[in-house]
Formats: sequence, structure tokens, C-alpha cells
Amino acid sequence: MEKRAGKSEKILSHVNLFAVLKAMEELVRLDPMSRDIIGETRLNIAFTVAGGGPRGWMSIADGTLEVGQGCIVRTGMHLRFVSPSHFNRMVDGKALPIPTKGIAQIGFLTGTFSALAKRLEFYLRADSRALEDDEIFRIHTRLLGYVAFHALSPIANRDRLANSSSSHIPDGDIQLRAGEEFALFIRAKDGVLESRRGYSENARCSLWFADLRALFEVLTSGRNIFDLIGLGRAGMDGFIPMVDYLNPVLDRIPAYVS
Amino acid sequence: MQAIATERYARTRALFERGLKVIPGGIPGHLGPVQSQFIPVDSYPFYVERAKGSRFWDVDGNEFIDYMCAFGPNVLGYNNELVDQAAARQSQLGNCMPMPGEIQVELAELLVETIEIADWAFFAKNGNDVTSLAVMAARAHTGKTKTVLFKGGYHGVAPWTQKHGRPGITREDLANNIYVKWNDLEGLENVIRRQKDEIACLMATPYHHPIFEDNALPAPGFWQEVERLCRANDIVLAVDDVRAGFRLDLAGSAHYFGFTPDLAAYCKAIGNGYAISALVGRDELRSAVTDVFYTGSYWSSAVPMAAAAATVRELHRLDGANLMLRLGSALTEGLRERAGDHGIRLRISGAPSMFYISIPSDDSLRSMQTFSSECARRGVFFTSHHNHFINCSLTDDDIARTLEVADEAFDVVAKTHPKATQGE
Repeated sequence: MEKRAGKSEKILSHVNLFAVLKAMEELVRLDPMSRDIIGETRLNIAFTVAGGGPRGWMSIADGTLEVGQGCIVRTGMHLRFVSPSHFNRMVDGKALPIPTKGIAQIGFLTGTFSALAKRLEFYLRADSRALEDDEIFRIHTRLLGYVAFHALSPIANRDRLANSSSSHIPDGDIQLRAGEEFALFIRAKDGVLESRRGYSENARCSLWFADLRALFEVLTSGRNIFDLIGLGRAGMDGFIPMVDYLNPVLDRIPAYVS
Repeated sequence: MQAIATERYARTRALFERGLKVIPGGIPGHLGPVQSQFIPVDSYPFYVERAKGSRFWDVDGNEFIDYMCAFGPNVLGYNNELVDQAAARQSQLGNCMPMPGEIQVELAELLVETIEIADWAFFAKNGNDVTSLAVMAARAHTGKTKTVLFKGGYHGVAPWTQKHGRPGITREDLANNIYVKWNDLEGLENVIRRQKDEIACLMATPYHHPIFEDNALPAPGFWQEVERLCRANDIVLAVDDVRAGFRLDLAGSAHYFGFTPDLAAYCKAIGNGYAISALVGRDELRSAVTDVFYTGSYWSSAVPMAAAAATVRELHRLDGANLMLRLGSALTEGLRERAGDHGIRLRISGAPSMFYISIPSDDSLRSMQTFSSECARRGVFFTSHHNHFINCSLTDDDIARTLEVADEAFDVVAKTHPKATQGE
């Protein structure tokens, strides 16, 4: 099991695939330049990370990009990693994967994928000056929220400290949203969490931010969400114990996403 | 999007913004807007200017009939004159002094006369001071280490009382706790059979009053069997009467339910708002409590003791516990009827003097959150997640006005929450 305070390479590899790389879905939706980068690309890529890492896929077609768990049919390229840390180094741009299928598609990695990764980094690492631009701020915050709240599920399901609380979350959906611009919900079933983009049709509990600025403050400046709730810039409603049990998971996100 | 109302609660908002700059969270603890479940926040005041009887006035001048009673301490009515006069008289003599005042002995004698199981009394400030002392005394008495608790029970905020995963709480803090389900005698018997040589204490509230869920009275024979199991296995039986104390029975909630614990912890209702708590117990535990080193700078202050003595005497005069039970029954029956008029089936659980309200057809709690907020907008202070409290000063007029407001609030609930009218 994982160490209490530190982070585990294994869990980080799940976060990197199902939260960080998954944010490319939103990047392509929000950023015209990223959409141009994938252009007419049609490719299914499988990821297999040995040593307890994730198994997942990325599918690019019709100007959209999607990342998911498990296997995918019609795989054009299969990328293998010898360990979670190998995969994590690849995400950091410090290691290369081992293509076991689709060697001919290797140009995708050095071209399209690399360009997308740089674009993602541009937004996620935007400095305060860049964030003065409203559009960059808007995309930065949405991507940050996308990463953080998608990271929440693998962390809750695998990190011992987080799981000791998340496993008690009653069944149901927890809606997270910021104004009308950001929406994602967490589905809890038998103590296992799954993050999904968009709105739940029957959320049992909601945690909302009045706007992207409020979400940004909580995610980046350490502003306590209780402060914002008192000020009416954030709020909760519904079956609040679901959020209570989620809070310790939220506290674990910075260990994996920085 | 919700935002704090600028008109009705303008001063509340300004104060909170000032408070946030100098106080973590603005308002710490259970009185803060998040922990108090002020949903939405713009329906509620955050700060009170004054309180009298069953009512309080917020810093914006809005008047409220109050059913939270400061989460319990208000048992006779805010600013009760008899209590305040007793406190003022003692204050003229002295409060925090190098030695306790005579009032310490007088109050202990009064509690021993009042509470059936009490052979002695030990004073502190908050409920958690004495629930922790109960655990320590049980360990000292038995030489064992573990405590059996019921899941969802509340015994304070010391690390041992909290949940693993909360900030600042480690697994080690909870290492001596064993949790069982309320009313689950079979589960309790299994735990005791396996770990009787380790279990020093069983601590429980006299009935189950967790937050966010219906409260549960003890099943018939439950307490008597719990007591038998504890006696047979050298386990100290401690009742946490901090919340329910004197609202069911002046002789103690254990007396109300017909069992005899070794220790009982009191706080809220014994001082009518003055800071004092007490652990009372049977003679068998006297020596253990004497041996435990446990004290605090203000625990022997005389003013709260004078206030507590006046409070207990007045509760006797009024037959306070029965009065509050009757008032609670009248109110909750009225609430149930008004809800029914709008097609809402209301569930009232717990003791009438500490009733919990739910609308069971809506498991999201949103119907109750709307009910509470609509009442707050109209000057009646309920909460959506916690049991309520009746105090002795509540009048028939207060109840009548409350039911008028509740009728309007249920109308809003019925129109905005289809689940609320679906029944079970």
C-alpha cells in the first residue's frame, strides 16, 4: 500500500493517464490551435504500464480526442512502459515509450502528441502575466479543474489515506461545477469513484463555485473553500456527507498534481 | 447564483468579511456557515447581537424564534434573569480565584441530589473535557485501554472522537476505538466476546442523535442488555449526556431509559449558557477520577458554577424536562400536520425536546435545506442536518408563529421539490 504522506509512482501513473493526458480531451475542445494540431488524424493508441500501472487508450478522430480506461479495438499503436515511473517520466518528457505495434506511427509521438503536450503545458503552467489574458485564464482554469477532479477518482480508489474516507461515500453522484463554464461529476458506487465530464441527471449532492475565478482561487492560491462558501462565492447543497467524505481526497490531490 | 443578501444581512456580510481577515474560516467551529449547513448562505444570519428567551436578534436587527438554542446550552431561555442574577452575585465575590469557591461544593451537592447515578461530580468547561475524562477514568479503573463507541455518535472534537481522514487526525489517534452499530446488540456482544480483556469503556449517548440522519431511540431492552454486558465484562459504562442531559429527565437520561451507567458526562443544559461541564459518577469510579491528573485554568471558576446551580434549581421548579418534552410534542405535531397539508410526509425522530426533522422521500436533503432556509428568511431558525432543541421559555405564541411560517415554507418545498411530496 501507499505511504501516508508521500505520493506513489503507481498512483501517479494512473493520475497522469486518466487526469493529465485526459485533459487533452478538453484542450482540443477549448483551444483552436490544439484542434488544428490533431487535424485529420485518426488513430487509436493503447497504453500498457507494467508493474501495477494503468491500462488505457487515447482515440483521435473527427477533430476530437478521447482518453479512456481498459482496451480499445482497432489499435493503431500500442505503447508499453516497463513501470509506472517509466510512464511518468514519459509524461514529463524525459523518457520514450516502447512501441510494440504501429512503429510506422512513431511520427505521431514526436509530432502531434508532442505538440499537444506542449500546448497542454502552455495552459497548465501559464504564469500570472499570461493569465491576465481572459481567454488563457479561462482555458487554464478549466483544464486545471479537469485535471484535479479527474485525478480525484484514481487517488480516491488507490491512495490509502484518501480511500479510508472515500470508501464511505454513499452511492450517488456529486456534481462539481463552476458557473456555467465547468461541470464534472463524481459517481460513487460501492465506495469506488468515477469522474465524468458534464452534468449528472440526478446528483445527490452538489459543490459549486460561482465562477471560474472562485475555482481558480481554490485550485491555485490555497484559498480555503469554506471562506468562499461563507462569502457566497461557492456552495454546497444536497446530501452533504458525500462532500465531507470527499474532502480528505481533495486534500490528497496536491500530492499528485502540482 | 446565490450571493449573500445585501439588504437583510448587510451587517452580517460586512462582519464576516472582516472576520475572515483575522479568524481562520471567519467563524470557527460548529457555528460557522459551513458547519451549520446554512444552505443557501444568503438565507441566514451569521452573527447575533442579542438574545432573550426563545428569540434572538441578528446584527442586522432581524428577529428569530430559535430552535437550536446555541446547539443546546439555552435550556431556560436566553438571558434568564434568575441565572444571570446568581452569576452577577458570584461575580461580585470573585470568579477565577486561587482556590475554588464554596459554590463548587454546593453545585456538586446539587448534582448529586438531582442525578440518580451521581455520587460525586467533577467540573470542567466543555463537554469534550468530561467525555475524555470518562475514558481516562475508565482506563485507570480497569487497567484496560480500548473504548467501544457507536458509529455516528458525537463525543466532541478531541482527536480520539474524530474520523480518520479528517485533517490533523491520524490512525493512531483512533487506535483504541472500537465501533459498533447503534441498537446492534449482536455486534456488540461479538466485539466484547473477542476483546473483553482490552475494553475499558463503552461510551454512548442515551439515544442515537447523529447528524444528517434520523435519530434512533434505544430498542426495548437495549440499554439493560448493554449494562449487563458491561457489568459482566468489567467494562465501565459511560453515558454522554452532554446534548440530551436534562432535556429528557432531570434525574438523567439513563434514568429515563431505565439503566444505570457508571459515569455520565454533562455540559450544555447545566449552565444555561455559562461555560461549565461536569462528569458525574458512581462511587466505584471515584478513586479513578481522583487519580487521573486532569485540570484547566478556568475549570474552578465560580461564576459559571453559580449560574449552573441557579439553572438546576429553576429546572426543578419548572419540572423543566417534562415541560420541554410537552412543548416539543406540541410543536412537532403541528409541523407534521402543516407538512401533511402540502402533501409532505414529515418524519420526526428522537425525543420531542430534541427533535430531528426529515423528509424521507428526498434522500438528497434538499427539501429539508429549502424548508430550513425558507423558515430562516421568515424569522424561524431551524437547521437541516442536526437535531433541534426546545427550551423552557418557548411560548404557545412562539409555536403558533412557527407553524404559520412552517406552513409557508412547506408550500415552497412542495412547489420546488417534487420528491418531497412523493411519500415513501
